[in-house]
Amino acid sequence: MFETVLLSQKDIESVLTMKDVVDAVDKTFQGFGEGTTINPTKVGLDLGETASYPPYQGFMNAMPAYVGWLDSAGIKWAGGFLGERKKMGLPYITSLTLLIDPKIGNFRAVMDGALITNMRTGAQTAVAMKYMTSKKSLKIGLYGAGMQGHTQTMAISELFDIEELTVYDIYPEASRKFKEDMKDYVKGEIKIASTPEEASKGDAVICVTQSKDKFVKNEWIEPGTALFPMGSYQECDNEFILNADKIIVDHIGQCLHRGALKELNEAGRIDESNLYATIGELAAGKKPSPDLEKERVLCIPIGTGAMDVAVATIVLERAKAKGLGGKFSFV
Amino acid sequence: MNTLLIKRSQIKNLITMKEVVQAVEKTFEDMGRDKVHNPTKAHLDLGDISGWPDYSGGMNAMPAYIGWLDSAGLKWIGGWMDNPGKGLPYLSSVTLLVDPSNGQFKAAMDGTYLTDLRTGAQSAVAAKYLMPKKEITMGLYGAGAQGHTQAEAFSEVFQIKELRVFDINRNASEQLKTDLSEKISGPIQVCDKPVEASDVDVIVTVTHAEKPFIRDEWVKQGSVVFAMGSFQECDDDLILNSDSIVVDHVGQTLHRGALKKLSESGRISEKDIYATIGDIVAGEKPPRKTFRDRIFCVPIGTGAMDVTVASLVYEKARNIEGLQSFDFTS
Repeated sequence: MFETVLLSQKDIESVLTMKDVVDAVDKTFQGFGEGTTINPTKVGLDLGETASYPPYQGFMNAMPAYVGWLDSAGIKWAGGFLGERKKMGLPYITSLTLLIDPKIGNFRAVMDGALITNMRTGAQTAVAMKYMTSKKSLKIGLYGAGMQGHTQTMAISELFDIEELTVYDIYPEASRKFKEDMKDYVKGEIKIASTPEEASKGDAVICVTQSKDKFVKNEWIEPGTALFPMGSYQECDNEFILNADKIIVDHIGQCLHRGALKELNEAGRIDESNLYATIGELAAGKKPSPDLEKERVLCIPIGTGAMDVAVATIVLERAKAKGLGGKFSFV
Repeated sequence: MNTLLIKRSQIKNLITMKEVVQAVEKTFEDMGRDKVHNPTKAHLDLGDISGWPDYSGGMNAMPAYIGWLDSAGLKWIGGWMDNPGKGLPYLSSVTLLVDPSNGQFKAAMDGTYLTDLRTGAQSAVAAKYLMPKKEITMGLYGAGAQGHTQAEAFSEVFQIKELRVFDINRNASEQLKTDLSEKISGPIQVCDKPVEASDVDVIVTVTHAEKPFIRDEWVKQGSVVFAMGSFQECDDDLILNSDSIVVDHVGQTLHRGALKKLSESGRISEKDIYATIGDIVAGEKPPRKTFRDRIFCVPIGTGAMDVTVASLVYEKARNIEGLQSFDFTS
């Protein structure tokens, strides 16, 4: 009765640009602020990431959402696996996204979710910066030269001129490859840092690592810096979190229970009252921007299903117009 | 890697209710032994609760890991109240399976038929432990798809001496009688009034009723009542006067279905729940104290059971030729 469109990573790549993703993420943040985005807290299935059973060093997060400006609903089921997946040489993230028609529930699409995850994660940072600074050109510090480091840089270059970028990775080879790959996206120089501290200066300092080590120190971060810890664990030390002038997040419930704020929240040292605003509130003009001349800002866009659903919806519309992908009737 | 795609009609040909009942029993046992991860489902409201967006629907995300199958998956399922009036199915669902050791997507399949099968099997397996008889009389409220699979699942576990069925649409009951006359050993009685289906060993309610219509005084000693609806079909006294309350998942059953209203008004809480079905199947708790106990059982449905059934379907489907697959990661 209903046909479901099937889209591979290649299909998605052929119809989607980072500019599209940045636009969609911007509108969806505004929707969060205006109350037209519905995004329940994600549900985790622990497959050994933190639990001891089963022993697979992985997790899967179910991230459903409704996006008002597109009148679209969907879910991303995404996870990260070390262990066997890493040994097989597969990327850390595994993901599928499902889209339904919110009016009657039929399944409109099943598509790869990993590429969109990487792109929207970059776009979240770029759009958050748009609402935190009036500058048009930025200095960037970047921890992690992998896939996410690339997409962060590409997304920021859609909205800003990057006048300088300093990258640090525990593997210097990864930094060198990053420098080669990203030279068209960065107007100024790409510097390869030999110590973590060298990458800690800039308008935006972005952490996209799998570190559990709190390696970014409070005393490194100068006024006029927004620090973006994007990882699943805590990349900056407790002193910075507790001393930042403002903390801004994408989703209050999720940010208190995962990533940089988790440990301090569980210890009772950070709670909702310590959060200045959501990115959505800044985007919708409901809260004033921080003062990124003087303040040190901690911004955590941990990632919401709404962003995945928004971008996937745009992909589906484009793919249908071009007749791309496979088809299947589940019912 | 290729992900196998399996449609509803294929699932129907791949799996029998007997297999589902056996698998559901093993998963209940695993739940009782903490070998299953089944986080509380996440609801996406599309008008079924808040009224915005006003589409009369909502979706539940139900992930789970099953130890004895070493399988992980997610069912995403929802119902749209306005759909049947438009000639569209009430339920819509897709279930995904991953290899839990490496996260690769093994299959994407229809989730609606799985739901009907496992919902029937859940109560039949619970009844196997809660009802100390092999031959039973059964009262069935609701003669739709779920009514059919409930009766079929019970017929795998019990000799049904008599099946009494009530539906507000009498034609639905007549249809069920026609459909199941071969499968049920005893006679099938179509009831005109709700009370006529209540003087039985096992009552199963699978309706969309939004108000209680089954009364405490109708239900006899020694019986088990399975309340499967999304709302409360049995009156407060029937629930409060039961000798024990048994559920499949404590968190989910206090916030949805038959116990929701009493839980929210503070008249039922976690301490009023005697055991989970998993506790009983695993032998952690005795099923009942006396033959006269009246048991109220709420198997609201867990993703664990869907992932269980989907895994059985996948294991059969992977060995047959001609099924479609798709490589999402290429």
